[in-house]
Amino acid sequence: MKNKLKVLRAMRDWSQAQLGEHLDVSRQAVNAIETGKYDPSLPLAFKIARLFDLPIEEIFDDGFNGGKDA
Amino acid sequence: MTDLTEAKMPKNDEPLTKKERLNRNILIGCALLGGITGGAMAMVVPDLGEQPLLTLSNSEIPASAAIIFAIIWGFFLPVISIFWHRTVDEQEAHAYKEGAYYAFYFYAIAAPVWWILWRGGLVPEPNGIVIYYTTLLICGAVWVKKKYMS
Repeated sequence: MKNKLKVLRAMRDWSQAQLGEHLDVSRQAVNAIETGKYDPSLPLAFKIARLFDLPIEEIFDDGFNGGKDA
Repeated sequence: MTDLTEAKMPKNDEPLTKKERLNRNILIGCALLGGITGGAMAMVVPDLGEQPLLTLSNSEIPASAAIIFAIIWGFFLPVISIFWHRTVDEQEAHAYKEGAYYAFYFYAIAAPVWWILWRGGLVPEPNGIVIYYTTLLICGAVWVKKKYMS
């Protein structure tokens, strides 16, 4: 799943390890989420959203556009 | 908690998070335990004969040594495993479960296929230890790939 985690992290000038500390996950987990190789659980997605004070759907994009192109 | 005011370092020089440090220490502990166990096993096995791989050997060992090894595998390994599973984050847990998934299917398919071919006189007798190590190898390989190579 596409997401803006890398951009949001860069805006705060955090390393992957620093973001990992905030989320209580490893650097590998942050990297896997940023690169779209791993989709976080709902609790972790909420944690990320709260950390950046944004709604989940503004951070994660599941590709669904509500049928606007149909 | 990491001091977030410290300078951002290049990726390869980033400090380990608390979870990573604990995880690494547990894995180092497991490796040491495995090394000590393997070394001890090498000392108590009297003669390897023509079997080049000690751990694949079915040769006799003293009962006292067998009890010690059984306690290590049957007690310490589960305790360490429970502790490790409580330590890892969800991405690593997912990677491990995927490894276990592939390993289970290997076991569920390879073991009966080998056994049935042996009964048909087509292959040598099944070796449980070979299947065991191959199962662990598949689980470990998938786990490492999913965790570190994603």
